[in-house]
Amino acid sequence: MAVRSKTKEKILRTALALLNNEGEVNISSVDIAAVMDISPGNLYYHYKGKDVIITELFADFESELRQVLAAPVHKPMALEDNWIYLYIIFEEINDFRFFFLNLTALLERIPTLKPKFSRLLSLMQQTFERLLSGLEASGHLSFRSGEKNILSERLTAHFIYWLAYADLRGLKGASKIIIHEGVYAALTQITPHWGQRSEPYAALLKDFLDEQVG
Amino acid sequence: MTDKKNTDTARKIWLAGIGAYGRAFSEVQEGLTKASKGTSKVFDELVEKGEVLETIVTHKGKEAFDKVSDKIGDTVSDTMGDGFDMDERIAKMRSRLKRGGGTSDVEARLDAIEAKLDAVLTLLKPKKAAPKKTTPRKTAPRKKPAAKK
Repeated sequence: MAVRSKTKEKILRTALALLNNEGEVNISSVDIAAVMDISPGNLYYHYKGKDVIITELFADFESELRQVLAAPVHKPMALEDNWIYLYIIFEEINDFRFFFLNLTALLERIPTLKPKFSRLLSLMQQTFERLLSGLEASGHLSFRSGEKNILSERLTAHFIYWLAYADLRGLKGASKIIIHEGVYAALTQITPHWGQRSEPYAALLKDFLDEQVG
Repeated sequence: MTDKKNTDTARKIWLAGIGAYGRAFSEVQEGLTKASKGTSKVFDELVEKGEVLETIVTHKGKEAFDKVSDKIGDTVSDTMGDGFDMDERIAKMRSRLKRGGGTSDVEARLDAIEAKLDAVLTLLKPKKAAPKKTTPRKTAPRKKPAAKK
């Protein structure tokens, strides 16, 4: 990725914070310029409008998430870290949450992001399927034909929509707690596949959540 | 058994289970499932059966954990101890992912290749620019009659 000027970097950081905190529809490029205390013309010199800024922010998000998703694909990691791993995926999404809270509208308005986002979803699904395969290979989970694939698709959908869902449901609390609850909801989906051990697994999962959420 | 000990042991088994490394989890869980169905009841029965069994459980969890630690070649021993700190664990994993993932990622490699290609192209440009200068003279007169027709 090309090296950015300090001003550009500052514009992006400010824009991301504003979009995340105030909501994408409520923020214009004039607002971003105002918060930075620069003229809208100056901002326009660096980025020609809000959608250009969003596209650039997406590129950052994409490369971050790709790094995280590629890690277990290229180098299988210790699966005891699953909870934390899923937490970090959610963290990436949370850092870019304005996008996920207004997904459909933004993808329609900036169509160039659509194929990129679609590829990212596919990578996420593959990552989940690989994690499930790992647990299946070690004899911990069992799947009937096709179940593993559909579960990894469902987990992907869960990750994409969890923040929006939590928002709609009015779930209160720090983003950390909402993320831990999202991880719990994700791992709970694999409970039935633990077979006869699913009951103790579910209980321990709940214990772990309680410990995190306090 | 205190509440704290209870959750500690539960956490160890949970981590071993999620880890799916070694047989510790299956062995421990199968033993526990046979003994009882609910987790709290399991621990109550463990108390009845004496601390010996608990030591075995704890030991097996530790064993599985040690195996995991060996595999990732990282010191994450605080996971199992009293000093377990979720935020710290998350931070560690985050830096590990960001460090290791980047180079192996196809997109990142593509970016690197693209950057190199750009560099090569800029090096080549001056050589191409020289013959280009002659071309406008040749094409210009050719185009003029075409425009008149």
